[in-house]
Amino acid sequence: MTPEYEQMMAYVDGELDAGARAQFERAMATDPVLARSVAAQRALRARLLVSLDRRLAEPVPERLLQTARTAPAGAAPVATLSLWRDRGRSQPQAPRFWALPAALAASLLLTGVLAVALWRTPGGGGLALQNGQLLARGSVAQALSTALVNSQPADAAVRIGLSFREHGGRMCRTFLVQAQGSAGLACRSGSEWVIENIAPALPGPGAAGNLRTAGSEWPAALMHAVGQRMDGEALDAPGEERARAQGWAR
Amino acid sequence: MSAELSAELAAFREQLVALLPRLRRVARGFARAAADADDLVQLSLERALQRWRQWQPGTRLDSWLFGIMRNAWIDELRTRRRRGEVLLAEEAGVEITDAGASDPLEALAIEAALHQLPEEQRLAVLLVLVEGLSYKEAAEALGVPVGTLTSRLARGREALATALA
Repeated sequence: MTPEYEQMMAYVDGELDAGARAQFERAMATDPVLARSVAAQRALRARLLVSLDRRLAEPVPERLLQTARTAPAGAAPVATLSLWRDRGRSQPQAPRFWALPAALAASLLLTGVLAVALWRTPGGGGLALQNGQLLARGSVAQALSTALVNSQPADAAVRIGLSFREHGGRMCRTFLVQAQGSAGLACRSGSEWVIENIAPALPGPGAAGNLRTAGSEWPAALMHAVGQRMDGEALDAPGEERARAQGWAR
Repeated sequence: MSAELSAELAAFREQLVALLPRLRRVARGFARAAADADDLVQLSLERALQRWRQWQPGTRLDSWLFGIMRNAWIDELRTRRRRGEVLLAEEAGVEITDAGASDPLEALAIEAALHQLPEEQRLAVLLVLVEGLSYKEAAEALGVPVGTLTSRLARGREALATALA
């Protein structure tokens, strides 16, 4: 692309400031070739518009109208989440986790690695695959059902991050398997904890007085998933106790 | 949700509705077949609503949505490649666009010329020449520097002019 062509294009597209525009127009007045190029560009744009503007008159499918009017909207940022998000990253990164079970087959290899890792948690199997859903078992299920964020032991093998209600009404909790460096999100369905997301935990900032975890850190991608699912705010301690007393029912 | 926030969200949804025809038109620049394009619009709407608080009022909502659509399309292509799916046949798009055009030959010619362009050039042409975004807005929506956008636009333009001459 020559500078002249670039200038001509910017003129046609209205990208020149007033001074440059005036100068270009003076040049065009004495240069019939330039004037013809401008006319050709304008004609091309007009042709595109005539043809493509017709598409705007096509009826919009009802399902798209429905989506725009009723699809769930993200909750406002909550204090609990900002705790995580403020850690050096102002924007949550693009999800880099494996949504389950939709992508289960597709990412079987990677998920398999994590699933095997979780399986070997102390206290027995950590996961079970049933009807295409990944379910919590053993120490993971135990922690999801019984642990409270504020009263769990600092060295718990499976730590709970936060608890919340998702847009669909289910209760969900994030968990982290310290020894395996895996973090996940599980939601209560009936009497099971369905694991919705799982991701490798990030290496933590070390033991330098960090309150959350000594050796592992919550991945931003998981927090992003939480932010998208969360309806309202994360449960506070009394809310968590109430939810536990009700068996984490909807 | 506070009353103020609910009102904001309701207004946001109505803006989405108003933009639907243009969202569908741009989606056709990514996915040629109408059914694929509408799926892309739907996914983009869902994502836009999930993160609607990230949109800055006072900035153009349309170019923000086009950016979301571009990312959704990239994810979609990745998923399909993993699953070994293929896109709908190209002809499906041509037939549908053609319907209702007062000059079907012209519509077909434009359609064919646009779709001969590499996707990156096609999107630059559509966002600037058809949707009327500035270079800066189009570059942001497509996630590229302005210089990259203008060179894609120049090449796309030249190729279109040759194809439609």
